[in-house]
Amino acid sequence: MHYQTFLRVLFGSLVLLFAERAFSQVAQSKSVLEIVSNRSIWGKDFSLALAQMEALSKSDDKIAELSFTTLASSRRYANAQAADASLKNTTRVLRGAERQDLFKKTKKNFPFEARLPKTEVLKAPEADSVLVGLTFGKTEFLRPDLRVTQIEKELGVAQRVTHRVTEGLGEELPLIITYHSYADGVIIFAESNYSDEPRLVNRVYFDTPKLVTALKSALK
Amino acid sequence: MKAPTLFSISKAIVALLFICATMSNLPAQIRDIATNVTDPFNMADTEPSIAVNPLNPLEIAVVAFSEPWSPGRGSPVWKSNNGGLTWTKQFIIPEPGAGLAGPNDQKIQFDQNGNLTVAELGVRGVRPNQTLECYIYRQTGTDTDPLARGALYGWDQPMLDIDRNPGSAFLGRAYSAWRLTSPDIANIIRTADLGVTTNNVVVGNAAFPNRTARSAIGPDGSAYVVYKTREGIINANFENARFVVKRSDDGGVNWNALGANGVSVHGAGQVQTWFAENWGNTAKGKVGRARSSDTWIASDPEDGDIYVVYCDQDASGFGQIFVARSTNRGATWGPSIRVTDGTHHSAYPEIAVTCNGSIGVLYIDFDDSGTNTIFRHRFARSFDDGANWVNENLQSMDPGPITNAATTFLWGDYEGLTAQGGLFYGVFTGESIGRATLQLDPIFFTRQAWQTPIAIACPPSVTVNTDPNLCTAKVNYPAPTVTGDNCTIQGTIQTSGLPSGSNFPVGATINKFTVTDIANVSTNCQFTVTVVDNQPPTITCPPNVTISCEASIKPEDVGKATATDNCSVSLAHADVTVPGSCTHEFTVNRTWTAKDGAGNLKTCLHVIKVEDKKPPVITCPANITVTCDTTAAKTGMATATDNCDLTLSISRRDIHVSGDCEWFCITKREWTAKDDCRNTSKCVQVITKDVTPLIEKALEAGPLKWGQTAATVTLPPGKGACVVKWLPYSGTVPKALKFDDAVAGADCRLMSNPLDGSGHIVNPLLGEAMKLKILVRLKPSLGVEKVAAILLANGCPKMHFIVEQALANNPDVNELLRVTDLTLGNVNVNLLVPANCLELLKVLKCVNKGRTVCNP
Repeated sequence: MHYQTFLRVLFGSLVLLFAERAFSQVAQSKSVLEIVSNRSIWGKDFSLALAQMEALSKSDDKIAELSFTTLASSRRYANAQAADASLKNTTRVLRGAERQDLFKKTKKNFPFEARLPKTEVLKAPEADSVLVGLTFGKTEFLRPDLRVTQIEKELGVAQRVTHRVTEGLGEELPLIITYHSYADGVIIFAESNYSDEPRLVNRVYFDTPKLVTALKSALK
Repeated sequence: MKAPTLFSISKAIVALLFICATMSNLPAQIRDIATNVTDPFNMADTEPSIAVNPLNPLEIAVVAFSEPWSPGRGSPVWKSNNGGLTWTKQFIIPEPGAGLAGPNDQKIQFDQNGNLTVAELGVRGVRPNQTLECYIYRQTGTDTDPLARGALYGWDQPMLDIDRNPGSAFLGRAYSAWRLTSPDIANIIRTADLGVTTNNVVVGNAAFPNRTARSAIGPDGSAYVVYKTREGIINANFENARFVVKRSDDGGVNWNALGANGVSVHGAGQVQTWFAENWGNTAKGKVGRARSSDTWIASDPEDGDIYVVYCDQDASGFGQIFVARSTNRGATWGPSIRVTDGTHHSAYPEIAVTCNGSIGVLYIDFDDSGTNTIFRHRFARSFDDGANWVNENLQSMDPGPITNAATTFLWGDYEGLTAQGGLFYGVFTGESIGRATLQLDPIFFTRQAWQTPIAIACPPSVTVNTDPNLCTAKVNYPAPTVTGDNCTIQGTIQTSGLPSGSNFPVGATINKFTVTDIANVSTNCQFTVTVVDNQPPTITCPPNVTISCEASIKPEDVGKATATDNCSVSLAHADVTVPGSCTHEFTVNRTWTAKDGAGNLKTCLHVIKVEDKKPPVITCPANITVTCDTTAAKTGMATATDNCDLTLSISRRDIHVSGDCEWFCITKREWTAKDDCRNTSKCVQVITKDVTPLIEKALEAGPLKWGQTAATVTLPPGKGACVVKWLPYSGTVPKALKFDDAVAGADCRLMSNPLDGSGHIVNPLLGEAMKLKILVRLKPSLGVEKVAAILLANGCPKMHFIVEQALANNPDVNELLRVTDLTLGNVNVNLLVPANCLELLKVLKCVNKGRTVCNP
């Protein structure tokens, strides 16, 4: 598969991820607050990432991507130059983030040590693109051994499960990213069949505007 | 290497039960390989392949995309050691190298020694800078040790076949067809050391892009490869193509045995095969991909016929499954036969051939006539070299609700089918069975390679006699006749009875034979060998015997019969008793019967005569002297015993020996005992009666005296014994006493008073007077009794008046004695007149009548 084609597939897949065309399972009714409050899922620094969501909701990419150590925009760029505009935009929206309502409520409800993020262009996990990420030094946003089976145990079966199949160069097993959608798609856990560990959750996607809306009304 | 005999009996039994339940003639039943325990992360288990240990068909191995390898842990091989009943997951395929993700393609085989071998594909790096690396892993340790990785070779989709034909010059050689993507062309490596070193040959056709390279090994060691040449896209689903077979007769060095370009299995023309990114109906659910999912090749392990299965969209408008057959090692191919029925799109064919030439094809079709697309894993068998097909559905699956079923890669590019002996073994990625979470799992199935069950016919039942003097009969019978393909028969065993030529015992011996096919389905037959024992026993009775009645008549005492037989014999007897002349004499006619197990009889008669000749043993009481009472109550009873008679009769009789028993006598009492058989015994008791003591008692009051004055007889105390010598008197003429004052002396003489020769008094008057006076002494009341009354009482006439005149009026006995003494003393002369004296004597006799000293 050619590189550009791959990126088109990737972006298209992300669009599909939050679209309605999916193969749904029985819906679960865990709320956003219940999900973000579940300490069995998140790493010890998750609150720090959560507090940034209102700021990220104002960026040009509304989908935040959380990995074990990185909070980033989900959008991929071919190179740092292509990502520059987004980098600037993200840097801008993060200014004064600590004064935003969700930041305050998060800090009140899920205390954390506030740290200023550094906005930078990072290599994407696929290593074939870049993205704009926020780094806070050493962090642990997800539990390192978090598996889909643990998610299902804590939150029930996902409301929707979708896949992104990325063909390789031959007839080998394709890369299959599986998305497990909760809270009406506000929070989506993703796994890769190429992971060394079976069913490991290696990133979580947040629909930041909906997440902020839900949490601002739920948190005091 | 695992020896074929090492698998446990218990596992074999369990497997047998499973296979029996699933195979027979019922539709193939399927079993989910994964369980909640072995698959805790609910992996999708796609693109499975399967291998069966040729040395132990109960050992089956499956690989699928079940879990990735990692630096710390290998990827798994599913293994069953019980024919597919249960499966374990052994993580024995190590990561081939750092940075290699995988497995990404894989194929599994056992070599001719039962060692596991796996071809693996790892992907290094990320797109577009990926590299694909193939390796062959081989078993070098136990079946649970990690496999050893071989050398790097190839690029994409490695297959794996191993020459396991014992007669092949290339035994043990492995071949791995693989695909190079740029340019897109089929390759195949050969390796004589299971991947340690490899040599590659470009085997495809460079004129067109190639896909779907698959290989097979003929029984002669020739190697085959089939691939398709992609000769033009038709639409989003189909492309024009040819399926080409090439053969190598030199162990994979050259692949031009069928010409440089090989042979198209369907003739010169193109076929329309699949090249679909979306195999299915995207509007009705998830779909698969079908680009390298359209051909497979297999060899008949017996006759070397080569079969290629491939896809072709025919006039039905559906992509169909066809099978082509070559009977000349690929040189030419017969007409392709459609396996499917032209009603659904079908693809993903795999083909295998069993030892009896039955052909199996595993494939998938889909039915999108409903709301959702239903994919069906199907299995078709042909029992006539591919001319006709029996087709069955293994499992229908709607992948929509299955969350780990990713559209466009529902099960991968191919699945697993192989044959071992007369069984097909398959695995496909299907809907989980009995799992807590609905998911894709590796689904295992087996299926038999024959339609008609094997049959067995036993010889007819026979009946024979025992051999002479033996309890057996040597019987030879023909072996049961088994019908069915040899390679589908696991074996025929005799489960009961005896082998032909054995010495069969008397009775019915049921000989059961069971033939078991390789699906462990058994069929039985039986016949009966009946051995009849017609040889009677022999018997000898003990000699006839006469025994005394007290002896035992038991056999152990009088003798038992003896018997012999060619088989076992038992003895019994029955007695008939014939009465004799008496109770304890009889004859026992004892009939002995010898009976053998077959009921043959022989008898003899044993006569036992019982007699009673022994007299009783009698014991008399001791001799005794008594005063008065001579009854047995006084003198004692005899006792007697007998050998047989417990109720003897004892009698007695007295024999007077001497003396007068009123005074002194000796009596012999003869006792006689008699048994029922008239045997008698006697004894004698001597009884002496002597009244002397009574006389002495009478003398206690002083001497007794008879007569008067000078004519007296005096009996002093102590001389009572003289009385019993004197009496009874012997004379008849009464007289007065002689004029002596006789006193009984030591010799009891009475001076001149006469005694007869026996010492008895002769004078009756003295005798009667003596008696009466003694009586009165013993019974004084008698003395005052009136004589007249006594006479009357005793029936005597009145006394003569002469006597009466001599007496006082109404005299008593004392008066009578007084007058008698006067008479004896010669004083009353009137009464001495003989006639008168007789009258006096009469009176005395009458008074004494009936009286004795014992009863005065």
